[in-house]
Amino acid sequence: MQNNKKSRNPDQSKPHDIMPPLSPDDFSPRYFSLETLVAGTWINSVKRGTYSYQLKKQYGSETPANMIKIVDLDVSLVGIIKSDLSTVNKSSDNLGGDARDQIWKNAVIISMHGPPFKCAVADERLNTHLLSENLIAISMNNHIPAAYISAYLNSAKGQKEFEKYAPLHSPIVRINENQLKLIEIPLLPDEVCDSVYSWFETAYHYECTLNHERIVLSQLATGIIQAISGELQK
Amino acid sequence: MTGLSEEWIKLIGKINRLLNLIELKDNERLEYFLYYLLLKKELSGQNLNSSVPGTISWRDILTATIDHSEDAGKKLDLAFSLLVEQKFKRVTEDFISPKFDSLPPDQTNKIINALSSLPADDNNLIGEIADFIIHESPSFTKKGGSISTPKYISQLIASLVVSSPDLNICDLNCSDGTTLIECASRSTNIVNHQALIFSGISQNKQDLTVCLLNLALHDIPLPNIYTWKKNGKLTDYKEELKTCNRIIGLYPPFFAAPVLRKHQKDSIIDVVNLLSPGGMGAIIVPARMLGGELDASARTTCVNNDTLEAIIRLPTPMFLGSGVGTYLITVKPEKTQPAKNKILFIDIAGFLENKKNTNLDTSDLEEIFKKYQHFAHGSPDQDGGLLDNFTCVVSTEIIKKSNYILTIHRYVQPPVDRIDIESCFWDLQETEKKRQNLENSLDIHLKKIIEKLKKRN
Repeated sequence: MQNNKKSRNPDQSKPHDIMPPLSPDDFSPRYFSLETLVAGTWINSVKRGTYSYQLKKQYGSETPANMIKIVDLDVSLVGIIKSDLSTVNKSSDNLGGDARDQIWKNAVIISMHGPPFKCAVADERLNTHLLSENLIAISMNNHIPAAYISAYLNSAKGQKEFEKYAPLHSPIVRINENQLKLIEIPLLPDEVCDSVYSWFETAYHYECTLNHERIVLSQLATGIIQAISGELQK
Repeated sequence: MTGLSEEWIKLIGKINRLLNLIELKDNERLEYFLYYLLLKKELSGQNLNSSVPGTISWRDILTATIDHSEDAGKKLDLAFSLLVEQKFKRVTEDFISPKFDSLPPDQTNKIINALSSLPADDNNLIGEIADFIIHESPSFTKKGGSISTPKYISQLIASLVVSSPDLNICDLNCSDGTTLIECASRSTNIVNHQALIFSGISQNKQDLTVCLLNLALHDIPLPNIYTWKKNGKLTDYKEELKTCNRIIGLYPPFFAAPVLRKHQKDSIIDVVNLLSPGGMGAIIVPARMLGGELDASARTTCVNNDTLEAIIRLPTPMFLGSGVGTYLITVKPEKTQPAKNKILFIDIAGFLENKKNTNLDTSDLEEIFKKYQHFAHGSPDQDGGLLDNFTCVVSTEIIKKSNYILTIHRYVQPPVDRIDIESCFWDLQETEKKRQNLENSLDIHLKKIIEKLKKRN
């Protein structure tokens, strides 16, 4: 019996002194102390996604072609909208032409359901797009770049902030606008903030470029298959 | 979307809220709403002769509302029973007595007052309001087994079916009656002819009541009504369908009548056999019927007998609780000479996907109708529109060679956008350069951060 138990839980036999247990001090910033700022003070405006009943009433469908959904948020680095938006036909502009529904450039788009609560930075391509009802767009004061906020909120610390304020009574939790405004973002000291902000902004552009590269590669693959099948047909 | 103005939508919302306060269930609320509309429509135009001396009109009910608030419900009950007796006697058993008197009098009075602002002489408006509330009602569109046919599909069926003035239509699943209403609006002579409806998929009497009320509110004479018998199939109604020259609807009635499923493999042949020589059937079927094993014999018979005319892929899944593809097929016992030994395929779902749209508009419907007309009458098709890419005429010989498989993707292959490899290549080169530059600047920023951190320490 004992042998069986050992084989099931081999970790139990490992000595605990290989790595000492972590203390809370290990998580605190070692180089300089950070101030935090409550989100409510740096958020300029908040825009909710469009409810499905409104969409049905306005556009005749619950999912118009130009709708940004949670699955379109790619959070690998800073957070971008990964869908190939160029596929949306120009004729569908009338679906999202209403100025009220437009998403601002450099806004941070946040999923209200989690975990994980996904965050991404909006770009100018989204001017003719709509947000689904589970997303929210926030615009910020000019001195904090959207890329930094999105990256922070996507990080483990940022996700803990979400969990701190979202009611955790079910596996999928929802955060509302008021709870979102309670989230704290660390402020950087003046001597490093420029470099850090620039790094995150560059990282955002880098992620967009990678995304574009992936799309072009996929198009190239399709083009090669088209060319080959065209040759075969002849 | 509906053409109702904001003013009327507000009024509908107000009445709906008042009905909501009475604490009726969703489906009851819809029924009561339609009953109120029917009474308003019928009593505004003419007076009803009551068994006791005198008449009853909407004005009487309104007066009762203002003077003696308790009497309004009684008057409504009386008016309704008289209306059924004098005008809808044939369908009395299918109408559920609404018992207006049992509703709270203050809410009833408010509803009567709200309805009084509707113009008495505009029957189209009342029909439009009925359409609106049926299509907005959650009980009729999602719950309870009822399916409301999307309006553009009803319009499509009506445009294909209504080609001659003498129409004798049979709707195999009444649903909310939208398709029959569309057919009636396009035909000049349907009033003098018989129309049959079968109770809906769910065999639910409440659905049938909604359908009959909808027809009455659109000024369409009430048709003969049949309900599906237990273990019954379409051929059991041979006598009733004797004079019928158009059969439309969803057949076989899946999901709600499981006993009918065993007959489904011959369903299309049944429809063809029951039609008179000049007749036509427009039936909505699941995708499985065009390529599945179960229906292979029916497909073979239809193709060999040359009774299958057109196969249209619809964009909306219409079978409750499943996302299976839906097709509209038209069958004719005798096809026109130009269409003989040919089948028309139209992929509307692909067409709408390409257009990034979800509904067919009027111009699309016209284009589809023209395509069908060109095919049926053999006139040259010179449209050259987008729909051309999603349309194909296939000879029955090719279908026989394909082992009688009628799946639309075998025959309709819309051209894809050609991708220019060279421009993709240059785009990729530029993107790679840009990426390298960004990587360099990331390194520079990172070095700065590290330096500053070191200085600080």
